[in-house]
Amino acid sequence: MRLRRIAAIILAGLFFYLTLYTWNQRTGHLDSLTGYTGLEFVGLTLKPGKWIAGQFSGFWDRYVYLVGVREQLDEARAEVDQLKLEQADLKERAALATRLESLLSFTPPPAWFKEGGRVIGQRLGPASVLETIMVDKGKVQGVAEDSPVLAPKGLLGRVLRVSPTSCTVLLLTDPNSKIAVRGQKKRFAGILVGQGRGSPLALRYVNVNALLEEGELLVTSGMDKIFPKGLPVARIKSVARAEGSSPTVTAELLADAATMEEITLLRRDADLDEDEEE
Amino acid sequence: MTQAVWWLLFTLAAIWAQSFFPGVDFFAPGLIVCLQKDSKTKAAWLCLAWVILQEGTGSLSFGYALAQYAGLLACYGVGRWLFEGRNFVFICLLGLILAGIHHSLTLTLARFQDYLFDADLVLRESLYQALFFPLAWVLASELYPKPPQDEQAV
Repeated sequence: MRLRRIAAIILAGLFFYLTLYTWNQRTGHLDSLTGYTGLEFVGLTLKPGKWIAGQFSGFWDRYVYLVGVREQLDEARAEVDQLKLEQADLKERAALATRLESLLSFTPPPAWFKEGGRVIGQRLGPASVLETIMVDKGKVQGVAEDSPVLAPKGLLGRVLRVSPTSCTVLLLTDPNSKIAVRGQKKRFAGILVGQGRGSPLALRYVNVNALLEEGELLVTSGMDKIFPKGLPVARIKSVARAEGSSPTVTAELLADAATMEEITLLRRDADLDEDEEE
Repeated sequence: MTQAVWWLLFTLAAIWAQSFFPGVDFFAPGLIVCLQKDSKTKAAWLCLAWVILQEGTGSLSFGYALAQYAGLLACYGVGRWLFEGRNFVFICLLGLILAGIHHSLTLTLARFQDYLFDADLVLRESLYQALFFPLAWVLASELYPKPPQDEQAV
């Protein structure tokens, strides 16, 4: 009799769990609720500590750890001079491109706004299977799901989950991350797929006759409608060709999430989004 | 009041511990300590709060933490028929079971969502879970404030 009661309780529990799970899969209400409460609480817990650590390391870097600063300053000055020259050249080209676009009646690309953010955590808790980081910006600052996330060197990933003042970012290294890219010079198209932390990314669905070269920069193509066109992502590391089949291409990500402390979030103009939906 | 403050501090400490050791659950030992030294009602409330925290920071759909804590509590209940609740060997065994639950749940729920994942990493995290569970339980048990009267709930 007692065994029958235990079996009934287990079955009822299992039924309740599966009902809840499938209902949430369909509606996403519980994911939103836990995102708004759980993620927010964890974000608020981690932010003060990260802020203190940032202040301390900033103090150390600015006032205590001064070895080699003079040499670094000279190198930086030389680099700035070089960049100023490059910038003048690029400004000239950008102006030319704008003139040509208006001549040819191109539709202007949608406006994107930048929002700086601080990394406050890596993967957190046993339910975080995907390669993610936590950032101290959320819905209040205009961040939405799928907002692109940039590091100074290149693209880092996109926003996966948002709470009022925090968000989690899916990194490009995660095997579930796939983005449409193009070669910067040769303009071949492909899909860049993550292969896990520490592994190079794989470039798939590339034309068999594509002119692939090691060292070529891969930029976003904008075809996935998530990332703006032209953001630097990765550099081709190796190309292996086999007769009659697509080439096997690996690429190295420009930005390293493991050492990243500050990032930039891109968000689209809300008015433009509404127009597109209409 | 003292206990409530202690559980709040424990929650904050567990969040920070989880940020240093990705994939490891530091709330689970607290749940067992709460059942052993505090009331079942408080354990239920804490469990609910920690489920929300774990699900909020996770990348799987809602359901992982709920199943994990339900499995842990069921194993704890069954285990107490055979072992003394505060026996260290029993706690180590519970840590191993929790590691097994983490591994099997991650594999199952990730496949439900068609997620690709690093199976070796999940295995490594499960081993860390088995290692950290008894250590965190010992630490939480030792630091838990003694009630005014020496009454123990479970």
